[in-house]
Amino acid sequence: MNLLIFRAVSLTLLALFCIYLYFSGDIYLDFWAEDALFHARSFPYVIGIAGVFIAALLTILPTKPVSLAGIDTSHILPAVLLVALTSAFGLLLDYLGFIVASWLFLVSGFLLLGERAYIRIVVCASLLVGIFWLLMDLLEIYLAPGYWLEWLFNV
Amino acid sequence: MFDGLILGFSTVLSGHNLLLVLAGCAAGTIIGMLPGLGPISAIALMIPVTYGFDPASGMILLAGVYYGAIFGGSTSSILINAPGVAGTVATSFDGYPLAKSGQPGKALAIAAYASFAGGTLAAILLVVAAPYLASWSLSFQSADYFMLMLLGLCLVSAFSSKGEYLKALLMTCFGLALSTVGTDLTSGIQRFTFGRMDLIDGISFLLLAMGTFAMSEAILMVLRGHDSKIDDLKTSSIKLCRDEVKTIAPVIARSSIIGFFIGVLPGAGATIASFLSYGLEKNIAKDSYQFGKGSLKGLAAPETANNAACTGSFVPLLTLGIPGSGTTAILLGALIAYGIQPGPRLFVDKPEIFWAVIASMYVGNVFLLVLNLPLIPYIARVLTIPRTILIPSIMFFALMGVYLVSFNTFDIQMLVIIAVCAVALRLFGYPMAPLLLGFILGGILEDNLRRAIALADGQWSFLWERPVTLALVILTTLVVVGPLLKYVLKRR
Repeated sequence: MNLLIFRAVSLTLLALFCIYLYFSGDIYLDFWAEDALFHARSFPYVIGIAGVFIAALLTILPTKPVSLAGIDTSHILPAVLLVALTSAFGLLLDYLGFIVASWLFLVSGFLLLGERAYIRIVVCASLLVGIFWLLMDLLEIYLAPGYWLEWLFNV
Repeated sequence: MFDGLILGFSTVLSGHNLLLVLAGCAAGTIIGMLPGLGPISAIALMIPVTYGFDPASGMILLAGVYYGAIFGGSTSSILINAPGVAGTVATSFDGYPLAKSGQPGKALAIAAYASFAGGTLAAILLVVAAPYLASWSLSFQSADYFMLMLLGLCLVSAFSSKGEYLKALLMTCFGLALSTVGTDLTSGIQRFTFGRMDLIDGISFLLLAMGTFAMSEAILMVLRGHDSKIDDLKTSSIKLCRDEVKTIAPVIARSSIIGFFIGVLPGAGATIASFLSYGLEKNIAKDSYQFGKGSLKGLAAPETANNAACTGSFVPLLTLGIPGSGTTAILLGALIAYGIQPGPRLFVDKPEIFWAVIASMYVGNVFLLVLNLPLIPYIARVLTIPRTILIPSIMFFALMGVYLVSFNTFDIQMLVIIAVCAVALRLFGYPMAPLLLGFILGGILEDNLRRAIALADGQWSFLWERPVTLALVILTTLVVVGPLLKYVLKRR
């Protein structure tokens, strides 16, 4: 089964390099560059051809089965949720601002992974966000308060 | 030369300057630990602080910041597998597994000793050989750079774990392909941006490094559940036994020399030096199977070479006024801001600055060791934090590192996609290091190939016209064809 998935991964990479090679041909060239020996398409062509060749070799040549031992299937859901949480953090960061979004991300992350010591959760999240914010303030790196906070408090 | 060194040491060892070295090392270490804020950012942030000082004191402070930031970068690589700068990527290959195996103190101590030894040996080489090396480094042409980088890429693939050669080569191509995303700086043409403004500047190194290492590692830690060794960490001794010292001593000597000479070459820098020395040590080691699993040699080699290359990069700056790396370019800017023009005349016109910078390298390395060794047991305790708290914290650290560079939330979504792909690839045994190295070197590789072809009037003869290039071509061919033939024959 793992061998089949491995072949599927190799095939996906082969397809990716084929797509890359196809789009390399779509790179716009100025008319004076078209006859040049080396232009904006040249390097992508070389990489694309090498990638297709190696991916094809990996797909064709016999290979050992890959062991996925150590992966606990019951932890797939928390991992997926954590990825979704990270993506949500990216979506909400501009709206909630650094402090609120980061604090919520950390608290949700701790809870998601099974931490139930609520005081520790609040202290750790507040400490991390506070230290980071202080460092950024010291280094004079501006962190926006977020659209919603700006709108609510008119800051 | 000795008069100059005495002058340099007398400048550095004054109370005021000693304090500046100490402050520089401490500030650099703290800033360097934050992903996204490597030596370049650390020095850039500290330049305004130095405006009130005389040029020698200012340069002493900045040199301290430089070494501190490099060491700080290694700390986050070793402890949480989050290399904030390209030069510390190779450090994480064995540093992180060693830390994870319950020896974070030892891993950090080896990094500190290796950095100290690499920096000090390179400083000695700098004093002895700087003028000769400066002219030698200028004789390197685009074709030589192109072949040197190609050799570096092939070495990393060839010396990857058993049976992973083709996978490593494919990942190198993947990294090279990712490096072509964005605007081609020579022609100004956009490539693979698909009309998105966010991709015009390409994918940032930090984004890829955090996605393939820190974020994917955090997700894998969740997937592996409670088998993670991080729960078992209780000790963080920094003591090395005699056998361990014997093991790493020759590695440090070899890597210092490699690192220094690569560092002297403009544009080559700490990244290539660390990868090349790692590859070399893996190739010559009898216990090469240990590499990637917490080998002491695998940690000492890149860490030494990294620091030696940083010192080596001062050679073209101080002797010719040519910055060999991004960091030395910032230092050049600082020198010019002080009204000093680095170059062959610096040695004659401003000997106190020339020698003070060199003396500060010795003193800075000693301070860094003295400052960091007692702190290592405390820093190492990061890994004893429960995984329920540590994993989201690592992710937050990586997310902020990426966000602070661009202030663009699109990068966070890219980070998530890259991390998920990296997890899938890592589960099926595809190594991430060649991908990252291919990405880092892709742009420079293309530029040098383009220049070499243009200089050779569109002919490929540049590959065999010069002995240096020809030697590198032969070496690269052997490195590529050897394992490939072995792999194909073995599979039959």
